[in-house]
Amino acid sequence: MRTIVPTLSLLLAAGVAAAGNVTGDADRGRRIHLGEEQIAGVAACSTCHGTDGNATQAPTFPRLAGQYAEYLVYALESYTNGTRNNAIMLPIASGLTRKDMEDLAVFYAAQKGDLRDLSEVITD
Amino acid sequence: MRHALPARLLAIALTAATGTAAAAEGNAEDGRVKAYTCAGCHGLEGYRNAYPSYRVPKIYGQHYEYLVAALNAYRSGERNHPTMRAQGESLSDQDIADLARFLAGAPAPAAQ
Repeated sequence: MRTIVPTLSLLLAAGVAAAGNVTGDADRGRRIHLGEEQIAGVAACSTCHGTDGNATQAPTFPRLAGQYAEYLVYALESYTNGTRNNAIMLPIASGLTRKDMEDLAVFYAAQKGDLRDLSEVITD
Repeated sequence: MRHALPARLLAIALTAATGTAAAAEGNAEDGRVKAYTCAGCHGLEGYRNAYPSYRVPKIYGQHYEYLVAALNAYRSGERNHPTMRAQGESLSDQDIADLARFLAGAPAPAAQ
């Protein structure tokens, strides 16, 4: 307990957020998303996925706001390991570290949007 | 009488064209019925994909065009996910359009 409590307080103070099994820095995720923190070879995610992650400007790009963080990390890794073959996302995802992915994922998971789990829609 | 045949052909042509348009547009009501299969994973509270383990994504409220592209990618193998590939292979273009039209529907009232 002696070590756990101070560690937790430190993490909280640093703005670390947990979403499911993913822990990340949502504020850093936001900065990467907006291009305020630039990563070599990685365009600002907001260009295609929208300032708030709802991708309102281009329906071929997915909405990310409110999506599960674990799924977002899986999807990003899928573009880098060949599970998903996508010419746009391959170079972008390849430029991200696992930490970058986690920071982005917890940021998107915390945004408000139209995405819903089907359990909320199909109830019978 | 002379004009009867061309008129009929025109009617057939129009019917065919309408049919094509319906396939491209998708029918949300048909999609709702077809989506019962999707709900087996995407509609169970906290349902997780195994190996690797992660929560299956929220798919309702997503863009129609993206959903069509994603389902086509699973069907073609561009996205290699065993369960979704098997699902995709069983879907016709019409099924994909119907599912995407339903899933892209107006968002349900927020329940969270």
